[in-house]
Amino acid sequence: MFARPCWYVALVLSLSLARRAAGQAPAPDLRVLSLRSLQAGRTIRISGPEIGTLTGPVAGVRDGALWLGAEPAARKVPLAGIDSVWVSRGHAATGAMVGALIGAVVGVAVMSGKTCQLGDSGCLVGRSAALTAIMLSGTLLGTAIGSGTKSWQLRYP
Amino acid sequence: MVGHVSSAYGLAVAAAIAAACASTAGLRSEPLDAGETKFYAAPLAVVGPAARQAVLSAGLNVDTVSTLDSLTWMIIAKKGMSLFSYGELVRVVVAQTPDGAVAVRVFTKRRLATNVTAKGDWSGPIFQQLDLILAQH
Repeated sequence: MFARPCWYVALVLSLSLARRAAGQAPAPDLRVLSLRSLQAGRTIRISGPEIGTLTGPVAGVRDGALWLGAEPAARKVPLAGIDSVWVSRGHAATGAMVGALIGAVVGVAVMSGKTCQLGDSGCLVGRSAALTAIMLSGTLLGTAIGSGTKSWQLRYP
Repeated sequence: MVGHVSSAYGLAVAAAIAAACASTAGLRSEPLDAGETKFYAAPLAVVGPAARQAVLSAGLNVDTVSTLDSLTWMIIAKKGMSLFSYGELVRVVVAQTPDGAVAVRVFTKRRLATNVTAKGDWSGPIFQQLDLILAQH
């Protein structure tokens, strides 16, 4: 006689508790998730009212803090004090390709003034080597310039 | 001799171009966590369609939208060929994380690796559009 109402009350109670638990599920901490998803060594920029703006490579996230900078001299920044996170993007690949292209154009222009006798394989090999060296130099220079050119993207919030 | 050297250069360039060509099939098989990631606190059912809209608003053409499983969406988009670019392929993976947040990962591939005028990374404009769309919800 009493078994069914007791069972029913227990079910309703558990459903209510489950619903309440679901309602009280903590919101995901996007700041922590965003910082944890970053590869160690990636250059980021963080800002907050107490820390101002800091830029440096990510060393890791632990003990409720972000470690910024190269180990062992990494600086500890409390996560609660971080209002925004920006990630940097270098342009090394684009720089390398532009450098290689410019190097090729310069190389061809330089080499166009030099002529080799027919059958002079040494001269031809020398020309090819010089052209390759100019292109490589352009690529390296472009990579260096591209790496140094950074743009920032907002990652949090 | 000059002819042989020129032929060798031509072959090398052609081989490099052929090897560097990206396809949508190749893009799909890249690791799902590849690319730039941003987390959102909205439900997957909201972020998924919003990501598709963001891709369109960023100026890309959506090729396919698929659900890998109940927790993961994959959007493949393309930037067509133009006067200055050979085109790009963009993959957006929208995935529910165990923490309750939704991760959006944008992975860009140039159709031709040597295409210097291509944007190279579409995550910036896509995240920007997604932020705007989700702010309206």
